[in-house]
Amino acid sequence: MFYFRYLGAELRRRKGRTVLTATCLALGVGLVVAVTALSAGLDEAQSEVLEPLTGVGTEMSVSRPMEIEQGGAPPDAGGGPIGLDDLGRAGEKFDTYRYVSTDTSFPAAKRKRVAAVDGVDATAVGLTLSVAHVSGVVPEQSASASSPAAGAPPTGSSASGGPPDSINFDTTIVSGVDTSNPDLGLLTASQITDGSYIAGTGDAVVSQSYATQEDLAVGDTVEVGGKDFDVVGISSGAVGGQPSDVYVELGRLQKLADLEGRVNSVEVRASSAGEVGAVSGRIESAFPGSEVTTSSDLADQVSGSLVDAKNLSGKLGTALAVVALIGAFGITTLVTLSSVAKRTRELGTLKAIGWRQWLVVRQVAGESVLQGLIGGLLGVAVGLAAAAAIGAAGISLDASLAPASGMPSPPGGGAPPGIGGPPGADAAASVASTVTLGAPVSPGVALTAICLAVAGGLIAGVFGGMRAARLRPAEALRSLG
Amino acid sequence: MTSVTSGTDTNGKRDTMSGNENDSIYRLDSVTKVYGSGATAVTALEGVDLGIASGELVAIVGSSGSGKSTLLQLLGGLDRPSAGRLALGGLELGRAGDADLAAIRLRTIGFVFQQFNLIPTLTAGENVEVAAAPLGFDGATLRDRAAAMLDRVGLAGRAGHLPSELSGGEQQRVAIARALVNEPEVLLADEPTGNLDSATGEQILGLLRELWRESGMTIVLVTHDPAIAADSPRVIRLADGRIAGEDREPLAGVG
Ligand SMILES: Nc1ncnc2c1ncn2[C@@H]1O[C@H](COP(=O)(O)OP(=O)(O)O)[C@@H](O)[C@H]1O
Ligand SMILES: [Mg+2]
Repeated sequence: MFYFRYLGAELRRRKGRTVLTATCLALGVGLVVAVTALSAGLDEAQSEVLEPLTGVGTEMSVSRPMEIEQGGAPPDAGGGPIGLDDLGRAGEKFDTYRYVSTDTSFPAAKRKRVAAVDGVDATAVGLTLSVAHVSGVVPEQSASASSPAAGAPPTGSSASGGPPDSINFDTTIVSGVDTSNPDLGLLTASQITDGSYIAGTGDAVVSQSYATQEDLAVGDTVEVGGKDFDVVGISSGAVGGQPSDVYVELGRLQKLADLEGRVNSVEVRASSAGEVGAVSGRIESAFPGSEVTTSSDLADQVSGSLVDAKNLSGKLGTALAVVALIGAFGITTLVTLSSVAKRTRELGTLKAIGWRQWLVVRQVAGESVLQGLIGGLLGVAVGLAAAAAIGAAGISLDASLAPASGMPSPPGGGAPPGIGGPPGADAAASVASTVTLGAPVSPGVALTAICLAVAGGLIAGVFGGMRAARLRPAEALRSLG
Repeated sequence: MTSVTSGTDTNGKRDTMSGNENDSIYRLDSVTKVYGSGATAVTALEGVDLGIASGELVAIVGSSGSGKSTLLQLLGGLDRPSAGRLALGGLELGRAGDADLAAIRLRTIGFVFQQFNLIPTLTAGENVEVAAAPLGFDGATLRDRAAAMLDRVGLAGRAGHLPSELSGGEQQRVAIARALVNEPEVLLADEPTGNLDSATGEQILGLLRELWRESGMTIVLVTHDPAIAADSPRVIRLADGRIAGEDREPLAGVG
């Protein structure tokens, strides 16, 4: 076909122009490919961070946050305020455990309601409590001055004073795990990094951070509510982003806390990841007062350099790519227009020897589109190279997941007066992790990049063609004749 | 569209008495061409009456700016008169649309330019093909036609050369081959030797005369070279956009 030979000849024999436009478009779309690959890489990094916490994106957690009613704290809020009076007479020794929950507990049988919701594949119940161990000697204090108002500063110069040296207070977050399904629940078998999953009522699994903090290893014993448990495993993160310190069998914890038959969370697996949003809505309406936490809720809570990088690539990267693309399109158009101007005589000659308007326009536009195609192919190569470079650089990003709500510090005056809040609880309840950044280029992205470059060529071609069309053959011949 | 003329003797022997009214291919009645408007308007042609018979070889002479190129462009359907009537065959070019003019330029008219106007990126062969391509020939036919035409202008074997690899005379031969590849009825040449040395110019003129004698086509040749004009059977002199005179040499060109 003659016209293709002509197109090819123009591209081959006007190398400067072809190289210039193709390079501009290649850089423009190459940047688009690189930025897209980078953001895909960051997405992957984020799901890698969230993966241990959220399964494969189909899991969610149902809880029932406590509502502070006017009638006072709900009965299962941990037994109400701890007054020093309760501990005994001044000077007497005491040693007591308190079981506190931020979420309202409910009968385990409520799980059936959740399980019946459309789109729910599996469920597992769990009970997570903050176990406070308070021990020491009851300080000298008048009985009437006890129980200051809730929310009083934990340390102050008032009569109630700071925590007396004679009182020890420590808190452990303990989860009772429904061990009947090791794939779903507060602790799953896949989260065990060392040792094994809970097999019996005397077994406990401790979190990595708690193990480090308390210097525990598989084979040691850990005390929960005054009872010794065998540490059989160490776990990584936890579903819902609120890892507990110690995991024991559910029934055992219920008995210790005197909450037999009650739980405060239902872990749910949806039948498909795409349905998670809809299912979570249905659960919330089927189970009044409940709140469903999904992996997308968790994604909002990720922080660290991963998030900074995501924000950067999301805003700056996109802006940069858009600017580069507009620049490339602009330069291509200008080069095409200047080429048409330079070829006034050539294009005028084509018209003079009988080429119809459309043929001339098609020739000009065809050249640009072909340059766009070359630029697109080059651009994909540039983008692949940039993506490979990002991958090869092995950039590591850190991310931490803060808990949605402070697990400890129960509301409604649950904190022991005159005694500082549970230490280190917030740190224990977050997950930190480091991921290596990759930049995958999908075939769809490559194809889009080529289409963008061709579109750039087409835009230039339309402008160039319009100018060529306006050219009057007589003027064209005279202008340089 | 195959032909806009009638009664053209296309096969060979030339009638030296051509030029009578019935056989005319061009008919111009008070053709005026004004460029621009208002204070800057330039009247390039004014009231030109002219008939050109089918098969004639006409030289148009005149000083620079006298309107020769303007007249040739009107004859070639590259532009339309501002006033008056200009008919090619039976067709009024002043009222033809752009697409019709393009079709006439493609099939009925061949152009040769002073600057050759070859496409610099195409080879000699492709420069000839470029004129025939819109007629929709397949690749092989196109190539054969171009090769035959190059052969005819004395450039056999040069089809693969780029214009930059050819001399001025050779480039003009390619341009002539391009003008003739669709076997037009009219060849319009605007100072075809203007960019060539006199010896090469002579050769090009010789080639044009030879082709004219063989084909029976009409040739209108613009020149300001009196020697060329002297060799032409009919010479039209333009001055200030008007026809200032005309010479006929009935025997010239018969050979
Ligand atoms: N496109 C144009 N716009 C304005 N004036 C023009 C244009 N083309 C030609 N002219 C003027 O018309 C007159 C005739 O020009 P032209 O036909 O080129 O003469 P020639 O070919 O005999 O030298 C000149 O004065 C020229 O300046
Ligand atoms: Mg001129």
